Amino acid sequence: MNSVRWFAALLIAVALLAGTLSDTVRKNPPLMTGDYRVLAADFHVHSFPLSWATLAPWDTVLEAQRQGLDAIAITCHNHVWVAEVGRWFSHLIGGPTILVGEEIVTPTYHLLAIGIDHTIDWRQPAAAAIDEVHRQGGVAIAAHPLVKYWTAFDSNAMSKLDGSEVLHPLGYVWPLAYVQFQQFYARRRLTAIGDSDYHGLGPLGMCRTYVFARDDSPSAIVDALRAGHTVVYDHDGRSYGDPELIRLASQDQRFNPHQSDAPPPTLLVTLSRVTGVAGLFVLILFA
Amino acid sequence: MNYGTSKSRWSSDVQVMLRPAAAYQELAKLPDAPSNWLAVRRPLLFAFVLGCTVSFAASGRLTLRLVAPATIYAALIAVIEVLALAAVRARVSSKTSPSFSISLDLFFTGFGPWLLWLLSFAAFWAFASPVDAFRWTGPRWDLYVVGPLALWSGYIDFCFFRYVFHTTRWSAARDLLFQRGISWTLAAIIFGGGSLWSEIVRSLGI
Repeated sequence: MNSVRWFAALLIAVALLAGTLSDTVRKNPPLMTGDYRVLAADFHVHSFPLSWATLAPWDTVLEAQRQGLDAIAITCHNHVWVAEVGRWFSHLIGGPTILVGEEIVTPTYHLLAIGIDHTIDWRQPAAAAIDEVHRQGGVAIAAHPLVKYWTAFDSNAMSKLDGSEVLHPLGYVWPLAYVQFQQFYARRRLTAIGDSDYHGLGPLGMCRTYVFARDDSPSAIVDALRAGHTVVYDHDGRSYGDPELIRLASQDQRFNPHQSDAPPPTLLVTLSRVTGVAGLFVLILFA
Repeated sequence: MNYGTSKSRWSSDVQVMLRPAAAYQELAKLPDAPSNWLAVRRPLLFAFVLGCTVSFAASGRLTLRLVAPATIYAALIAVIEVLALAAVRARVSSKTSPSFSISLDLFFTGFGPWLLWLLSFAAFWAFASPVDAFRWTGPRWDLYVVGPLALWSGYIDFCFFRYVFHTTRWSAARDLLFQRGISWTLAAIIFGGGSLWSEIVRSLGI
């Protein structure tokens, strides 16, 4: 190996060492407030393969654990088997609660089916898909309800819908999208949901939902979603959800509504970033 | 064996990126010395860079927890590219093309634009805030960057088929389409197959 390759390899090795040493799990001790267990959750998470995601289900579970999430729903596109693998793996390692879900991707709407056990066919109107979600004991949530999807949610579908994503990364990138999410959420009393629509980019749980449930079991979480027992906070401090729960959370000083904010990078993280990017550039351009 | 072109300070990837026709004509003249390492080194590099990009994008650092598995999943893409190249090579006369290991090495030398894009993407996710990274790597980025990148990469691979496999312009264009048709279709099915059909229905307005 020539000296340039050695130099690139050294930089990458330093990056891997620093990055691996700094890769720790955020500890979130269980929080009880009132009669509720407060759970940090993300209900819109994709995993490799088949859903344009980069992390396999076991990596996704570990990443959720690292981000201090108590529960996630793995919602792959139009199938549930990858989510079942994730649930099995999390059970094996004592990880976060995994709800089996599906993002029903159709040409006219996207719908999250949370807490189901079989794949739901995408070739049906929204109201029929929601009926099927309910028949399987799950809850139906409108995924990133941009105005282009609104016509699919007719009055029949709206009357059956359980919740909608009022906070989604698109809202931070495109202010008009955020307005549309708020307008859709205001159409009727829906469970407020904040999701990261995770495909492997950025922090899992960047947008998250605080669920006020009786415990952290999948059935308790689904019951809480059905009852509207959620609170969502955006990065500007705006809150959505059950007003009584927002008040309850604000009175509890142990509750941190900004858990999703990325902590400032440590020295090791910065070292990993700088040497990693530099090493890869040297390797490709000069080695 | 160092399979580079003239004694430039830049890697052969960069030379192929900047002047693909001349670089591939020069590389094709080098003696054919097939080896297993030549066959796997660049596909492995491609998978490793993809694995590193995944780690930067997901956790903002290079961690073995993500780099190792993501490199393995990314190797699937490299394998798909190898299979697609093998399918094209099977149609080309073995008298005019170099050994398969050298064909592979030279073909993956043309992945420079994708590697640079992956690295830029990784650097964005490593150093920018998640909101800024989303803003600059969202759909608009896809439209303005990935489109021209696909054309650039297409031209490089066209030069590869033309000058390494010694084919005519039309044959090189046909080989390019054939290779892309196989590799991109397989990759789309493996990575996004769950919603592919409904997305096709939406795109066609059926």
